[in-house]
Amino acid sequence: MKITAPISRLEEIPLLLQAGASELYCGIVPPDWVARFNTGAVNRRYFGNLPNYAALEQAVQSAHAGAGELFLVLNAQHYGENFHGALIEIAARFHGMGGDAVIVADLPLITALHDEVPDLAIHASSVANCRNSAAIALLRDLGVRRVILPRDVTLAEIERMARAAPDVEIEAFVLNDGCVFEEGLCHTVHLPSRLGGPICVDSYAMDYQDPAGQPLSTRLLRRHAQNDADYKRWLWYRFGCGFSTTDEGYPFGPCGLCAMQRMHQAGVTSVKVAGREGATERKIKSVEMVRQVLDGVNQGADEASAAALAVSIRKVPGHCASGYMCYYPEVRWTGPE
Amino acid sequence: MSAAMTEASPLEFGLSVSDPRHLAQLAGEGPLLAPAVAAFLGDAEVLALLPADCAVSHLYFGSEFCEHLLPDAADLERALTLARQRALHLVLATPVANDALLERLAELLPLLPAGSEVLANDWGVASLVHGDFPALRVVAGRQLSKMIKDPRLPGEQWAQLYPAGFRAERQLRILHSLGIERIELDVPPFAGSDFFSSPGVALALHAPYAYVAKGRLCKVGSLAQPAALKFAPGGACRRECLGVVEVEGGQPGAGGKCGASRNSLRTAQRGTTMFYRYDAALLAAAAEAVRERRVSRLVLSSL
Repeated sequence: MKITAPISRLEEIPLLLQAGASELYCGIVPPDWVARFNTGAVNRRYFGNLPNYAALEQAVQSAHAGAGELFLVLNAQHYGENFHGALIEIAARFHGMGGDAVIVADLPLITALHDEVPDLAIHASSVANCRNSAAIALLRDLGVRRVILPRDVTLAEIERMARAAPDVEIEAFVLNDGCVFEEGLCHTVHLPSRLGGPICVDSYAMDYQDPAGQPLSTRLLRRHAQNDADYKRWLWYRFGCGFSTTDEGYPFGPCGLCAMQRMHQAGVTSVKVAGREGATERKIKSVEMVRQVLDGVNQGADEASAAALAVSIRKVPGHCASGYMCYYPEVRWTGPE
Repeated sequence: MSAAMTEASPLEFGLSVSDPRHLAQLAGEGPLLAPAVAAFLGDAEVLALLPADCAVSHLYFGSEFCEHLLPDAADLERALTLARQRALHLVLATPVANDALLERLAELLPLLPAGSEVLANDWGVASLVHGDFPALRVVAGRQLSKMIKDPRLPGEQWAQLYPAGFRAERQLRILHSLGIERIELDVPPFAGSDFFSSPGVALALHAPYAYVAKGRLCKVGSLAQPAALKFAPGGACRRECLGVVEVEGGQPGAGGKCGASRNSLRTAQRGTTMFYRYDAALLAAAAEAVRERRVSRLVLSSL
């Protein structure tokens, strides 16, 4: 099992490879893109992209020099058809540089890239929201080599999909960044904070009522108020625990470390560290943390001891026991056996 | 006359029911006419979208938005009985599925009469129906036709950041490879009726609510769960969403940045999913799209 990590700056490449990643992913906004399309939206992120093709070529060379691979995100949920030519051009240039794969969510673009740049591997982004083996088979038939599963799948689902599609690589989330909604089914824009920011943390004031518009009983409202308080606590975990870290700098936030042993057993190809827009130190510490657990798994740690190792790195068992920090809460830490 | 207006097929009307307990309210014989539809939905505004002589032609049953609301065989049989009594075509609405749900679906689909439609919001579901149940027809649900639908957008240019891709020739090729001849859409913010054009595939339009974002983790569905088991993927629930909705109140939150307070698209959340209700402009766009036959089916639902 490999570790796939994000980069947004060239200097991060050797640092992340040294920390234990072997696959890296990045984005680019070509200099002429904004002029052509009046938007900087080449992929899912407006920020955290490499600035130009020269930087992208250097990134490929740097990754390969460290025995790593570099993937390029073209992972918007959807593009207009008029974008396809420009996106194929980016992918073709990346392939010409020796780039290893593109990460794509939009099915029409997947077919276009498969036709036009046939030797370039395609990874279906988590934004494609592939949650079953029939969808994996369809993506495989469209030319996809790897499927990156969305957040909020269960370990049992991962195991089942991996078993059903042994000819497709599976990548699953392991660290950082949580969405409230499913990434591929959220049709909003991460607005600037002055306009509300991401919709899931915008300060909506909602009232409970029954479907006919009648108020709920006081007792039921009290239960919802308690549930809302739990939800607010869950949101804090979901959005990185206030971007807090351990004393060693290991970031808190959405985490699947305790699930790595089962992922390894299931034949998962790679675990994904999210957070292209994050600080370099956060990325390095994230990869280091995943590497420690992966080394334990590779040395034969069973599920319980791999989880114990993960919790010992985290050093705050309460966070782990809450389940709210877990991508895979079904294997949340419940204390030593 | 627009190309859309030259289409000869009659306008169809769908009525969506996700709560099996509500089927009984539609029991009876004879056509379901506009006043009965408005009364069922508790929503007189939808009458503005319905020609006076219209009758429901399609009963949508099931859920597009939650794996826990896939009907069981008994409820599906009740819906089929109702559809027969009312001379309606049944459309089984389905959500994003995991493999276990695909198995359950594969057990339900043989109950559907040949020619019934399955509304798929998952490429795997579409693939299953097309491959294993060729007598059924697959319709692409709103979750397969991507577009920006953020109710807070301050201006139309924001909606152009990522243009909708459902008209792309390659999208149509994928749809046709799965036997899909109809796609379903919402009215996105700032859209006019001319948004609804897609050569090569029929369009259905949902009203008066558009879905904005769907999650898998469910807040209200966690109501009865112990704290440690709340908000978990695939977690158990008691279908709380059938008895409660969250609607946007009049006051923004303490931060004073409530995006939706700036415009007239009021939001609501039911279970896993956030919706907005069409404002006057979007209702007018929907009505015009219907009048001009840019869409060949209108699907009405409550939240």
